Amino acid sequence: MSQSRIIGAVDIGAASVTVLVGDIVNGRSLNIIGKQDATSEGVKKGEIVDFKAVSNATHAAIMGAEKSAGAQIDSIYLTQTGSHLEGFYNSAAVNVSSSDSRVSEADIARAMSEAKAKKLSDDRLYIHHIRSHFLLDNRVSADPLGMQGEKLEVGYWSIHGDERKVRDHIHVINGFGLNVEDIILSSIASGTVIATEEEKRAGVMVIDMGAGVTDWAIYQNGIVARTGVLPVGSDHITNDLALGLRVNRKYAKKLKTSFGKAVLEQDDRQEKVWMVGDQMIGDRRIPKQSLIQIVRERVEEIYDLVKRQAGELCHEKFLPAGVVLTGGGSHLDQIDLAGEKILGVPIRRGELPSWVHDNLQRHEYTSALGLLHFALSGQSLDDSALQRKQRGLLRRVTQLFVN
Amino acid sequence: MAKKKSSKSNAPSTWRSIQQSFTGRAVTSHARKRRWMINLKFLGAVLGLAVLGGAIWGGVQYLQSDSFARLMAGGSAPVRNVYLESDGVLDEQWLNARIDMPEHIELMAIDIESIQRDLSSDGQVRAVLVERVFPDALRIRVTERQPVLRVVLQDASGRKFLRLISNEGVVYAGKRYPADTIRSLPYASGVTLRRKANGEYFPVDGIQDVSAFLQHARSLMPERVENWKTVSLADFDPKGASMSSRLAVTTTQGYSIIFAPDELDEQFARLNVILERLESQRQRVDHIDLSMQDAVVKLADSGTRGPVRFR
Amino acid sequence: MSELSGKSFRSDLNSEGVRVKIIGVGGAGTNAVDRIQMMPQEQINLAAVNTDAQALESSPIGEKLMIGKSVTRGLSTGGDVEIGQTAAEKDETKLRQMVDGQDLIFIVAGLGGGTGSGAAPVISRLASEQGALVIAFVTLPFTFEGARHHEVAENALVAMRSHCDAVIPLPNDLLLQQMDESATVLDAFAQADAWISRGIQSICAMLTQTGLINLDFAMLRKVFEGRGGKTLFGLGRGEGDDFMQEALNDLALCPLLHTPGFAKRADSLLVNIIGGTDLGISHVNQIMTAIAEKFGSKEQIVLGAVVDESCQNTVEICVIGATHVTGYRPERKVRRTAPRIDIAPEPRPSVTKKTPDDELFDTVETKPKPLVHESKLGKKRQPELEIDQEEFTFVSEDEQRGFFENTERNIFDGEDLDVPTYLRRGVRITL
Repeated sequence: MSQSRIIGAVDIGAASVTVLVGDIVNGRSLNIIGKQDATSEGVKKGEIVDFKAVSNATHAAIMGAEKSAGAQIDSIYLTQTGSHLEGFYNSAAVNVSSSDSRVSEADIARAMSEAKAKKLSDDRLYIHHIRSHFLLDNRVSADPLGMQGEKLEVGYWSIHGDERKVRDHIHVINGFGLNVEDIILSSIASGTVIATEEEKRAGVMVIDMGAGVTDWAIYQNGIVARTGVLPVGSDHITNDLALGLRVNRKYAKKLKTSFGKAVLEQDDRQEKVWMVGDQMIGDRRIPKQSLIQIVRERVEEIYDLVKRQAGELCHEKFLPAGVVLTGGGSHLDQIDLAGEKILGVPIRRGELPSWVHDNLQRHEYTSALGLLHFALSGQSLDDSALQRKQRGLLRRVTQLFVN
Repeated sequence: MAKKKSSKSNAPSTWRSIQQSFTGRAVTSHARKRRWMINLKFLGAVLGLAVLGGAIWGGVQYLQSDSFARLMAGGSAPVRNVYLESDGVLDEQWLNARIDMPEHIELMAIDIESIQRDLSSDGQVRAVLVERVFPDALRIRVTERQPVLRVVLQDASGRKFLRLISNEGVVYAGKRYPADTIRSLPYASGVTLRRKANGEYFPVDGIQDVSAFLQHARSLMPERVENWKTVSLADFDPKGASMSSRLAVTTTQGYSIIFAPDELDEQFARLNVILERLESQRQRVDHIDLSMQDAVVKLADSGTRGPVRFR
Repeated sequence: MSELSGKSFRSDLNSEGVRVKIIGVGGAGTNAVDRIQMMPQEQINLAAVNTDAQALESSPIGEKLMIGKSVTRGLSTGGDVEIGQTAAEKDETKLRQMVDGQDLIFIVAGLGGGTGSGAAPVISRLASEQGALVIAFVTLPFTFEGARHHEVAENALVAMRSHCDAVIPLPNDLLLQQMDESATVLDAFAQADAWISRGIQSICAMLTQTGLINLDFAMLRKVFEGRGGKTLFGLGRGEGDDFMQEALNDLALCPLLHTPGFAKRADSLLVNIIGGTDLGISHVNQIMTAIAEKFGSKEQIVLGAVVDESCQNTVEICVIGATHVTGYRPERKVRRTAPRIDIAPEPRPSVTKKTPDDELFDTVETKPKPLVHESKLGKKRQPELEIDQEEFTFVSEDEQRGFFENTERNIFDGEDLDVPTYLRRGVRITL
């Protein structure tokens, strides 16, 4: 009998809540059987500001997704973002213990646990520990077990977040009666599907421009090397337009999607556009130049801030594959061009892999698709996966009785 | 709002240390609705299973109860026909004598099993199958035993009974056989019958071989076999292990023929030759022994002359 | 504008029984009051308060008060708020005399400096304690002036809000947007002064001039009943043939009004219209309809219409509104109205009310509470004020954050990223 696991991928963004339902058959193949978007409420800059509203919107979306899938979701994979997330790189080195200088499993385990042992303050929680390659006497080694050497070194890019915010996030799902099987950073979820393996090996930066936040991740040697969250997204562009052009948010959004552009060109200087478009009373003409100026300032600042956050890794030298853009914000006209002169590397809009069905080929779905990819591969980002499996089973059993 | 969970463990806390529970503050109407649906489904499934289980148990109970039979009887037509199909000689007369079926009985009210039991207790019946043919008939299929030998028994009071022995060695009182059939059967002699507690006899071993022997003989020389009066199993070893296993046949002419159980074709051929020779010489014979390498014939009236050896 | 304002102040306020005083605090405040001073008017009392004797000396204002002689020895505070505050506290008696007996007091100050940020809250408190209706016009520093100025201004604004009946903040960033491309920073300051004058004149005109629809002081008081909320302020002016439409358009584009949060949340609104004899009741009605459409129901609007013969073919609309509610949590309203201590001394029961949302609310609070003033308040008032300050922490910049108000501050290298980039970079947007 074939065994199928129904997974819900939930991406709670500032603009919308996206739920994809995947059916994982025998742990080998993935069918996306359901999908639902709901307008998000109560999320700003990637963080929950109104718990009740977020719960309502999210639960409605999951309900809808379950309905469209015609199946009941077993567990949830969730994206996590927000400016409270921080990361640091920590490495540890151990001396190879055995007399013949061969690396044993115990050595590896010791190095790994030491590199992850850094205590956080009480209100912080680790989200991921992403391991970089082992270094055996300063030589890179993917699997040092049994190799000869003296000093074994390993490093982790560890991401941690505010306990309360992560808890809120999880409790939104718990409130629906489902458990969160895994949390994946938005930038990593997006990066998984939007950048190819070759690009990740060569070195690439993924920028996921959402409504509330801009998530980015840099891949080196096929592994996530750095991640970051900039709490500025396309909502900010809308807000800037609303304030700058003195229009309400609705029209600001409309103006952004129809005329918004990240680069000011000669032709735009004289042109004027209608605010509403029906040219009735209350409608007025807005200089396109002003509109674009406001957008451009913000977009350029976003790139600039990402560059500052990423530091030295955001350099041509480390990013031969350039920058891949995704997320709802990447639809903005010429947003790729606007960044090139700031980041100094080629920027392109990402393309989702071909296995993704046409009606899911949207940059808004990148993160959720990435979650399903993780669910299928069954691999967790960190080494604590084993521990989780046991918990999962236990939980399922206890759940049976609770029901 | 700092949590005091650092005391719990020394390991750095990860998000997995967050308690996940349904009783969060985030329970929305959607969640409640879904919970309800799940609980309802669960309850439904449990109830469904319970009902199903109960139904099966109850059904079994009911099927076994009298009220069910009565109900079913009320639901079917009275029996109008009883068809008897037999591969032998048993007929309706036998059936009527054997079973007593009330008139106007409903088809479903008939206890098929007891009829089956009853009929198969007759030694002549090898197998019986009783079927209801809806709406109003009963079909009884009987497979009969084939008689091979007959035997006369005498009980303690000195009364004599004729019994038949079937292919399988079962001893039974034959019914409804035509007289010719019975007459054509040789008597069995030299057989020790042992009684069971219920008055029946234990089956006789080796009848299958005897049957095959007779059949073989009949197929080769039917007119001679008609004269065979008895077949003696006194020296016959049913297991075929003993070299001295013999079948002795006594004919109506008064002489006896002794066969070894194997290489019958040769023995029958020789018998034919001997008998034809004797008939042509008009000599009467006392016995013919075919069980040896060479047949031994003893003539009846030549008391002085020794046995003649045919080659 | 000058002839209009000249007329506005001609009537005798005293005969109406309303005594009005305009107090400029600090350098910027004094300069702003100077501009009003330069127009011919007698009945309004003007006063200047400064720590800098030299600057005070050069001002043409009649009533001048040098404070903090013992602290600064007649020099400026050097941008130190503490000094400005101490100076005002040292001369509390003199200041009290200055505000004594007034019905309506305007306080004009530039926040971000030492005297303005330090002394203005103290003067507001004293004025308010005297029972006057206190309306403050304060300018907020440019973003490029740096994070420190901003913080000072913010803290001062929070303090002002708790003492004044209305505080109208004028962010310099926004004012710059209203000007020509060639405008300098000095022009921007002058622009701020002009806005302040127009605002004050408009309020005074409502009280003093007769017109189509008259307002009295009691109604004005009523508008600002809920203390501590945000105040919105906007002006629109139209001239020529189509003066009506022009004025409405001008008002719609007024940058001060255009912080989207405001538009829906004015709880009470004061609208004053000044026009010539050709201003008919139908025009007033047209304006009312337009404003009601933008700000909500007509019930909330208190309307005044003044006829000025010299204003043919022009109309000036002034909108002042008070919000008692900010953010998404309506229960704040309860607490916000509570600290009206000087008018109603007995504590309101609602102050102690804790709502279940308090916990959620705490999540927003991450910055340290401003240290202003707690030490100088009457002891019995302290608990109420604490609640207040917690709520006001982020209020001041919220005006420029729009959609993102009530979220955590988004500070990166001292800049609030939620404030539009073009504003922070000083990019002028033409409309």
